[in-house]
Amino acid sequence: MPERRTTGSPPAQRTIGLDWITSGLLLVAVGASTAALGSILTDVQWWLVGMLVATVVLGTAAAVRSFTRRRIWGSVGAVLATIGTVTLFFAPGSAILGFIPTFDTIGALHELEVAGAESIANQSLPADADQGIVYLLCLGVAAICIVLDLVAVTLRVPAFAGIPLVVLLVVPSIVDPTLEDGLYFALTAAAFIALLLVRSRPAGRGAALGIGTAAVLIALIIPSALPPVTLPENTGSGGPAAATGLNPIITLGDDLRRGDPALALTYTTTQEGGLYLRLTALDDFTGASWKPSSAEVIPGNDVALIGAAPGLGDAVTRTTATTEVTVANVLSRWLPAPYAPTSITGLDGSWSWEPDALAVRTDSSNARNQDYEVQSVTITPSVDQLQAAGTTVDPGLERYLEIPDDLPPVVAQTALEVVGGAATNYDKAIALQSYFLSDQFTYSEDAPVENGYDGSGASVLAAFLEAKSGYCVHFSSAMASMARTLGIPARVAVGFTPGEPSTLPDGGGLEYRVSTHNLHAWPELYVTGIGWVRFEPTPGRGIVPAFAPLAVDDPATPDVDESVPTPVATSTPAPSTAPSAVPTDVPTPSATAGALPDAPSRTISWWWAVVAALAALLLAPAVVRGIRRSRRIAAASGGSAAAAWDELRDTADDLGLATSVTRTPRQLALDLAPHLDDRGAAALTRLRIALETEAFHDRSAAPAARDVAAVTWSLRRKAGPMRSAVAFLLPRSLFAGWLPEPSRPVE
Amino acid sequence: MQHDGVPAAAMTYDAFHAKAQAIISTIETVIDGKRDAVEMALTVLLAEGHLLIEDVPGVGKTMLARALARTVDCSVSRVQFTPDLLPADITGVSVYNQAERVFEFKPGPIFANIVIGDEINRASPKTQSAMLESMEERQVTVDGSSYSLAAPFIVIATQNPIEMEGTYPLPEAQRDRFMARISMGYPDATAELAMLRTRATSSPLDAVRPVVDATELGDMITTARAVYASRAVEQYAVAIANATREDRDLRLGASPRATLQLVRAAKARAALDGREFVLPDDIDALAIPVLGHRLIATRRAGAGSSVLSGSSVADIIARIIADTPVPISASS
Repeated sequence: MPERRTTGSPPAQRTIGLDWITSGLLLVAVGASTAALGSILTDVQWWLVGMLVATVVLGTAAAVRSFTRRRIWGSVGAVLATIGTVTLFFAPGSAILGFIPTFDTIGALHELEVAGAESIANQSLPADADQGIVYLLCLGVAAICIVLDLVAVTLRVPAFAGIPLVVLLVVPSIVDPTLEDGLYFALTAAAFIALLLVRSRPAGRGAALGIGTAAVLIALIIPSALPPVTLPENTGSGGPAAATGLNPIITLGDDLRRGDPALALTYTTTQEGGLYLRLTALDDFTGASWKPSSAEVIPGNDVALIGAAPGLGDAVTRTTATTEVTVANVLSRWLPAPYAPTSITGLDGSWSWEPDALAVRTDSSNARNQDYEVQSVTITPSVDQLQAAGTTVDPGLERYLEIPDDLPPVVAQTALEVVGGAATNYDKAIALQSYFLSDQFTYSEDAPVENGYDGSGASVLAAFLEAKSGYCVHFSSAMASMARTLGIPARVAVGFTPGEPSTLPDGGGLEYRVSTHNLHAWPELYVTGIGWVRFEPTPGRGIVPAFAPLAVDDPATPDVDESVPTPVATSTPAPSTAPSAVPTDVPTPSATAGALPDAPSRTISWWWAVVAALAALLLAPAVVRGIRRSRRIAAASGGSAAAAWDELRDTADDLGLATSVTRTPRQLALDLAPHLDDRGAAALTRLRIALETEAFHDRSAAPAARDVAAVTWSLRRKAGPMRSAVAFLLPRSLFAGWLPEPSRPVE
Repeated sequence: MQHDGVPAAAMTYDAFHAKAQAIISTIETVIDGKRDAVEMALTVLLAEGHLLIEDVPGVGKTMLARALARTVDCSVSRVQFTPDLLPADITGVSVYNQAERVFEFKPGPIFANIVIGDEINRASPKTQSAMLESMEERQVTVDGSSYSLAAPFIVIATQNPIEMEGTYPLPEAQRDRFMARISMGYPDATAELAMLRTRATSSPLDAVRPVVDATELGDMITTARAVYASRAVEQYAVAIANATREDRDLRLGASPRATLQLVRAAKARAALDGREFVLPDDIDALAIPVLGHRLIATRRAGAGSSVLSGSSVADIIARIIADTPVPISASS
C-alpha cells in the first residue's frame, strides 16, 4: 500500500487529555458490559458498586499518568487502587486506616470469596447479589479494568481491549443461553469502536473503524447464521443428558422441561418394581434455598463398604438388592444409587460416601459412562414401627430442623392446619403427603417458572402454597420445610424415579431405562428407630411408598395397608406404568415440549457458535494477511518491486521488528541485517536494489519472488517458532497505523 | 534514458566516481580522519554550491578549504575577513588610468573559480552583504558596470561560532546563500597523533597537486546535475521542507531555495556514489548540512544548545527525518 506510505503525517503528540478520554470510554465499555450481568443478578446495587470500583481504578490510572512520564505507573496505580478499594469496601475492619490491607484482610477476603463461590453455586437465576457475589464481581471488574487500561493506554494496543470486554459480555450467555443482551452488547461495541477511533493515529482511523465494525458484525451474525446442533436422541454421545452443578436442584427444572427426554442411565436390579436412584440429599435449608451441606469429599470412605444407614433399627424388615447401573450421560459429581447403599463396585476414579446422606461423591471423576454394581438395603417398616416412634427425635439431628429466619409464616401455619390432631411424626408426615397428593394440587413443570419461581427457595414456598401448582422441586421442598416446622427432621433427596422397564431380549429379566424426565426430588423424613424414610408428595410422579399411601379423607387416620407385603404397594395406581409416568402424567406434555425452548440443544448450538466464532475471529487476521501476501507475491512476480518490498516490510513488522515507513530502503535493509542469515541477506540486497531502481530511478527492476520467500523464511527462522506463530495469528502489519510504533527495538 | 529538463551527463558516472575518489584521497593527505567533512565539502563543490564551514578555531577549517581548492587546477583567491575590510576590497575597484585616461576596473579577489573567505563573520555587515550578493547573482556591479564572475564559481567560507567574540553573525537571509554548512569537529586521538607527526616538518599542503582542472570540474558539475531525481525523492524533500515549516520547535522553516539546494546537493552526492539517480538516503544525509544553518529554533528548543550553535536545530531536523515517511514509489 504505497498510498499509506506517502500520506503519513507526523505522529500525534501524546496528550494527557487523550488518556483521560480513553479511560472514560473504557469506563463506558465496562459499565455496559457489566450491565449485561443484570439478566442474571437481581437489583442494581451491585452494578453501582462495580462501577464505583471501575471508576476508582481507571481514574487512578489516568490521574497517576498525568503526573508521570512512564505510562506503566498508571497500571501500577490501578493495581494499588484495586487493592485499596476492595479492602475499603469489603474488609475495612481488618485494614489499617480502612484501606491498607493486613494479613487479616486476606483471610476476610478469602472468606468472602468462598461465600461468593458457594452463593453462585447454590442460587438459581436470577441470583441475589449478596456480599460474596458483589465481592467477586468487583474483583472481576477491577481485574478487567486493569487489563483494559494496560492494553489500551500503557501498551497502546486498544484493539486488544475487545477481548476482556467480550469475556464480560459472554458470562451471562454462558450461564443462561436464552438470555438476550443485545442492548449492552451494542453499547459496549460502540464504546469499543469509539476507543479505536480515539486511540488510532489519523492514518489508521479508517482501518480502525472498518475492522472494529466488521468484528462486531461478525460476532453478531455468526451465532445466528450457524445451523443449530441438536442432541442425538437417547444415545450416550453428544452433550450431557443431565448435568448437575454443586447444587443439582438448580438445573433440575430445566432438565425436566426439555422437549425430548434423553437417556440418563439404564439398570437391572433384583428389586422388584425398580428403585429410586438417589444422587444426593439437600439438608441445608438455612439460606435462601435447599442445598447440600457437606461440600467436602471424605477420602477415607471407600465405597466398597458403605456405613450403615443412619438411625436404622434392627427390628425393621429389609430386603437387599443388587443393582447394576450403566450411566449413559449424566454429568454429575454424585453417583446415582439406591438408598441405602451398602457397597458399590466397578467404579472408575476415586469415589467416597458421605456418612449422613449416604450420597456417593467424587471430586476428580464423574458419573458419566460409569458402569457399576450397587448392593443396597430397602427398608419396609410396618406402620406400627413407624408410629411407635411417636414425636421423639434422636439427638444430633438438630440441623435437620433448621429453617431460615425469613421462611414465610404461611408455611408453618399451613403445616399446622394440615396435620391437625395427628399424634405421631409419621402421622403428621402422612397428613402432609396426603395434602399434597389431594386434588387441590396439580403437577406442572412450566406454569409457575416465571419470576424466579423455579426453585426451592423460602419465598417460592409461599407462592407455591398459594398457587398449589408446581413440580417435584416445589412439592418436595414444601413438604420437607413444613415437616421441619413441625419438628420432624427432613431433607430433600434428588435423583431419578425408577424409569421404564423393558424386557431384555435374552430373557435376562427387566432393564430399566431412566431418562432426564425421570429426574426427581422427594422429601426424606427421619423417623426415630427407622432412619430416613422416603415420602412422595408429588402428584403423578414416582411411586408412593407402600407404608405411606395415597390421600384419604381423614389424614389423621390414614388407610394403611397394614400387611406391607411387598415394597411396591398394589394400591398405588398401576405400578407397572407408574415408573414411566412422565409423558402421560404431565398435564400438558405436548404443549410443554412445543412452547418451551429446547434449552440444552440451544446450549450446544450456542457453544458451537461461540467456538466457531472464536476460531473465525482467531484466524481472521491470518487469513486477511495470507490474502494480502499472495496478492503481493503475484504483483512482485509481475514486476512490482514495491509489492515485494511491502511484503518484506510487513513480514518483519509481523515478527515485531521495527519497520517504520520513515526508514529508507537502505536503512531498513541495515535494520534487518542482524535478523537474516547470509542467504536472506543476499536476497534482501537484490530486492533492495530492485526497489531502488523501480522507485527512485523509475525503471523496471524485475524482482524475484523467490527472493521474497528467501528473506521471509530467513526472518522467521531467526525469530524462532514462538514469534513466528504469534506473527501468523496476530500479524501486526494488519493493524499498522493504530498499533504503537515498533515494539521490538532493532538490536 | 534521458529525462526532460535534465542536461546530459558530460562523463560516465564511473569516470565521475573515479575522479571524485581521487580528489577525496588527495585532500585526505592533508586532513586526517575527516572523511565525512571532506565528502560533504566535495559534494557541495560538485553541486556548484557555496560552502560554509563553521567550527571553533584551529580544527582545520581553512586547511580543508585550501586543500579542496588546491586539488582543482583553477584560479583560487583567499580573503581574510576583518572588521575593517571594505566591500571594494572584495569586488574590486575602478582605477583611473592616467595613461589611457579611462577608468579601468581592477577585479577584486572574488573574480576566481574558488574563493576562500576566512572568518567571514568577522567582517562588517556591509562587506558581508557585498560578498554574499555576488555569491547569489554571480556578477559584480561596480560604478554602474556589471562584471560576470568566473564559472564555476564557488565560495568556501569559514566562520567561528556566533557566540565567539568579535563576530558579526550572518543574517538568516545571507546564510541562506550557502548551500550547506558543515562543521569539522575535533579529530579523534589517532588522527590527531598522525597529524602531529606529519605536520612537524613541513606543511603537507605544499605537496598537494591538482587532480582536475577547471574544465573537468565543469564537466563534473554538469554530470552531477544530470543525475536523475525521481518524483518520489522530490516529494520526500518537499515533505521534509514542509515539516520544518510546520514544526512547533522551529521559528523559521526551510525556504524553497533550501529545498532546491537540498535536491541539487543530493544529486551531487548520488553522483559521488557513482549512482545516476537520487535516493532518499541522499536527502537524509544532506538534510542537516543543507537545512541546518537556515532554520531557527524557537527560544524553548534553542535553550541549552552548546557552543556549537544549531545543535538543537540538528536534533529537530533529525527528528523530522525520522518522522517523515519515505515514498516508496511515485509511479504507482
